[in-house]
Amino acid sequence: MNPEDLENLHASVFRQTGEDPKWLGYWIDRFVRSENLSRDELAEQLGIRADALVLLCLCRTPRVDHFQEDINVVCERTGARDEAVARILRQEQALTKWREGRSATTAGWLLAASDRDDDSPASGPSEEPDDGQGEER
Amino acid sequence: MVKARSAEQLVSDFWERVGFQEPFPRSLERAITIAAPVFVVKVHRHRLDTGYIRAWLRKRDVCLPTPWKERRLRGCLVAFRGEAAIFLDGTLGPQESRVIIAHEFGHYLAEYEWPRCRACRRLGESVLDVLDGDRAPTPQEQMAAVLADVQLGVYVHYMDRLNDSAVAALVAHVEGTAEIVAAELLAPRAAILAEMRSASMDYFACVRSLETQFGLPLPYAEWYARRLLGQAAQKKSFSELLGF
Repeated sequence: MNPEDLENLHASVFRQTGEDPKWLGYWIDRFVRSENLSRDELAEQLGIRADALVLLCLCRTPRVDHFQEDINVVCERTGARDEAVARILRQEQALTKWREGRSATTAGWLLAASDRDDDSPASGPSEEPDDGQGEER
Repeated sequence: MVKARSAEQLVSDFWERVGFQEPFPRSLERAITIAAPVFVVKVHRHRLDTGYIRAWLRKRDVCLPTPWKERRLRGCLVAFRGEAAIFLDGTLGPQESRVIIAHEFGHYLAEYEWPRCRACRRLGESVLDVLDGDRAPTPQEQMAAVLADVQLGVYVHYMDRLNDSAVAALVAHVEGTAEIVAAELLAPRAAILAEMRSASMDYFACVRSLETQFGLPLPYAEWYARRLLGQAAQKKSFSELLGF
């Protein structure tokens, strides 16, 4: 297969797995969009080569009641770091559920915080920049 | 304040789910993410405050009502519909980071996951709609909750720092519980008490051990050592207290 055909095949895999939540590619696609990451940056976080992302996307989404077991199988097969794969799933599955429950009140939420006392109170909210930079894993 | 035994059981159940005991000093992040529906967001390039958390969620199309006072944070737990996020000030050093993560996860275990699981076990999964704020409990559910000793009140936020004494007492209780669970996650009480007795460790040796072996920051190590020594003294016989 020539490089162009291979690239087209990979693009097709990313597109198709990105549309169905039963594939890991779906959650990876959402994570890449919400974190504004390139595939190279994502691959680095996962500890794999960029061209190995295709294999990861083709894995089934780990089952809720066998999460750790399924993550181990996925990471053994693809070489990805289990903590990084788990983090992607946890974040995107949580955000999906939270979008479903829109409420004008805090009903159902639990919020708790550890204050930082060594600075004056925030003078105003600090907005996350549009480029998504601001946090590291 | 939850008793130490309950904190030990919560933490023991957690490590059983994880399937391995993380060696000391613990960071907890990997164990938490693998074994619980919780993820950690470390904020490095911006200061962590309530506005940042709201903006982070809003950017991802999640609207979080936030009636709290705006302020800077070292850590924050946000939990909803069975899932949770721990936001962490990424500029903190490793010792303080592990304590903050443990503290926020302690909130999750004690104030969110355990009450939720208990309510489901006793009243069935349909009660989740009530806990998630989707609907009010039916009269039958209210009666069943009373009989089963389950609280059906929706979760609250513990971020108020108001002068209301009732709220302050509740927040203090919840924070105290999280501190105990966090300490148990990072430095298990039973193991340390055993070491203290076998090595006849005094306060200063205990603090040193908590700092070096368990990676706790000094103020936290001092607090925990005082607590452990108090508990160790309670288990001594009268003769032992006299020094025999």
